[in-house]
Amino acid sequence: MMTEKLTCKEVARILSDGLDQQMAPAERARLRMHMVICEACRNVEQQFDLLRRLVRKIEPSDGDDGTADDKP
Amino acid sequence: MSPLEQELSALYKPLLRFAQLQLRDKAAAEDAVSATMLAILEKPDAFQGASSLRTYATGILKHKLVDHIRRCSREVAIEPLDEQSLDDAIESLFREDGHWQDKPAAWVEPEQALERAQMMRVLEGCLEKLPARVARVFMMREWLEKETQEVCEELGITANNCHVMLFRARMLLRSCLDSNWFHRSTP
Repeated sequence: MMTEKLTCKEVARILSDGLDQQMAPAERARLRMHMVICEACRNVEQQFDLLRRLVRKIEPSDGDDGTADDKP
Repeated sequence: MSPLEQELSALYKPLLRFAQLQLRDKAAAEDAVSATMLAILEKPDAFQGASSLRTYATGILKHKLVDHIRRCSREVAIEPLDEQSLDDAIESLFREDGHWQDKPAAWVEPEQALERAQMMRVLEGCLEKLPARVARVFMMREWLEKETQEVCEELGITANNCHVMLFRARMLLRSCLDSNWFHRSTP
């Protein structure tokens, strides 16, 4: 496993992958290390989690703006 | 019309919109919604009113959508994906050294029901804007709540491709929701 620091770009991908599969402990440690020092990526982690929660809650809603119905 | 039929009639359009979000194919979406309504009308007693009819119908519709995807995933003519421009869009969020171009700021979830409903509409709009192939993988994973492995198998794509698609979807949705809701510039 590399010991180089992760970039925010790499972290975004790792956070996404982490929502779909188990992370190796070493990779997890590198990720958490980055999270300790990077507020932006902490926000992204929280936002990916919220996205998941919100999408699961989507139910058919009564269209009031008509945007979707008129699409080809 | 019976009260159940009246309720179903009012649900038709919402369900159709919902099905289209996943299938991106109007005729297929109509089929799935018709099959859902037929299933409810065939066994009206199965709906006990424990949940709302909307929730009940949504549950059945999800199964019909999965059925459809299972049957057609390999043959359906879905618009090809311009991977290059998609990756460029994501790439442009970062500086060359891998740092964020604009640092993502925290999101504050609305507490009021009305605001939450508005936020969900914005999210739906963002989902509708996703490229069809990206949306299909994402919706199967997150909305139909299937394991990633199942999604790959049913769509006949590699695990790596699956992860790439999910990453693209999350990045695009994050940006879309950020600029259209959480940090929208116009009040």
